[in-house]
Amino acid sequence: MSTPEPMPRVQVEVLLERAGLKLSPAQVDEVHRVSGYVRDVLTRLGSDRPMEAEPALTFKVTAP
Amino acid sequence: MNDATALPKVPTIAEASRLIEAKALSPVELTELCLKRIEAFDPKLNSFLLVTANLARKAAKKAEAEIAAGKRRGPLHGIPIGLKDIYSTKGIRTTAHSKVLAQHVPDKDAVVTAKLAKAGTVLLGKLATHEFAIGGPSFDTPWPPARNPWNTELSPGGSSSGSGAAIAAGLVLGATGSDTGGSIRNPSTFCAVAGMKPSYGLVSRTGILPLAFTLDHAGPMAWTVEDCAILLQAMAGHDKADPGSAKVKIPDFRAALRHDLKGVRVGVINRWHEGEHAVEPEMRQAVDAAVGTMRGLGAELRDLAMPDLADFAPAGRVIILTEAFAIHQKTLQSRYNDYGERFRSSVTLAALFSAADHMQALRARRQLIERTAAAMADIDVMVVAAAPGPATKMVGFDPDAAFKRPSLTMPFNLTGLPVMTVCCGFTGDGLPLGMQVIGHPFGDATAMGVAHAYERATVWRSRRPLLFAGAAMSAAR
Repeated sequence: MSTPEPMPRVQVEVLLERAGLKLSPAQVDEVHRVSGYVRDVLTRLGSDRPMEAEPALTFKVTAP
Repeated sequence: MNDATALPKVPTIAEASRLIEAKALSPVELTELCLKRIEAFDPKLNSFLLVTANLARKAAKKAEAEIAAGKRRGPLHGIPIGLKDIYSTKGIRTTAHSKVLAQHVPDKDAVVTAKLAKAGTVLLGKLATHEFAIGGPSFDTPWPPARNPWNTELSPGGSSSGSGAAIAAGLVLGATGSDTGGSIRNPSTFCAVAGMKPSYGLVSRTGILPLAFTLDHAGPMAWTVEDCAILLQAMAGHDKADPGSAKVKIPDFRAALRHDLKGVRVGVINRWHEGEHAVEPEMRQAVDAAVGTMRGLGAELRDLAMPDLADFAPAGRVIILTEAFAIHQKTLQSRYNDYGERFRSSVTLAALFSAADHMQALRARRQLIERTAAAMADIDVMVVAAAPGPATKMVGFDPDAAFKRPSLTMPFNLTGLPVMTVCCGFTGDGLPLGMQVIGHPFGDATAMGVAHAYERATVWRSRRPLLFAGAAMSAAR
């Protein structure tokens, strides 16, 4: 399995900046190189779900 | 270094407990034995980040005095254990194996730390972990990574790496682990120990450094299922300070251990062993043989139609990375290079996700919980391999590797189901193999009961790594 085509580098740079991260050029290169995997993960995750598909709740309301 | 092969072996928790109760073994003697074994073997294993020898001796003496005075607290009184170094310990350094927390000394115990202390355990020290419970082994953190006692050239698995290594080497009788994507089950498999990832909400996580709130579980690791049951009994219970904690009745886990499997319906997830991401042949053979043993014990076997393994991976990856990023964002902004390369490179990828991606992952999780529940409707437990194969070499960071195959363990973090992992054999090279026994939500006792029956019917618990102080270690009968 080869490394998938990365996202556009400018997109990666903008997202890293938005996250407030200060990476060296070499570190940005590495995030950019593997960014295609992220896109593949999101493609597989998809967004085609029924409107009523709520996430699982992790709490129960109980009397104190 | 002296030849430590002459050192006595450590008993299991259940054996030691019986001997201590009968006053045939002193907690002080047992603690000294563990400390001698740590001194002899741990320089090659690196399973401990900190040995609290003085505190352990003091606790052992106190336990001995209490037991002599007729004040025995229960089966864990006087039993030496270790804590994964993400469990807060009041006044004792808790580092998450990271430079970021290298000087961190909590002013409060984690709830589980306190519960195990109250049960009378003797804390031997803090155990190695992958940095913040993700992304090891790392060679650029302040302490070296733990190594596998079956072969020190190999990884012990992780992230509860020190726990797995220390138990297999007989340096502790039991330990705590945490599991967000397989971090109890993976080292349990690679080190041939028993590891329990309880149902989500059964064990408090208050005071345990988090990785991803939605998927984090705390649980016990030990040499046998029975020992895990003893530890879990002390660890489980509702905690109002943990928003994920469940208010459920805690069963008697040890009483639920079984000697046969008559009438137990076992679903085998064969499809996860096959196809594009097939497990290695020796793992497949070991699980098939284990299923045969379970049939011999009376189990009714069914081939289970679970969702595709690859359906679980994207939701798990997005949740774990996004939540870890949120937890560490502020520190990543100011101290990026104080994290090891493996941690920071993994978690940084979350910056490429959107808020909608995280919500889609949480929605996918609910769908997978429902599909899994439907698949399990007519069975009592499921069985599947715990890893694709045996332990692999201790290598540096490969950013591509994590994406190349879906995890066999992550599905049960997403679904929150209880999983007991047990050794199910060895490769021709003498490396351990492991199997997951999965129960229904809060069916922890059932999963442990089935795993115990299997474990008792096999010879795997009689096999320990052969350790030589000052020499290369190897797998051995």
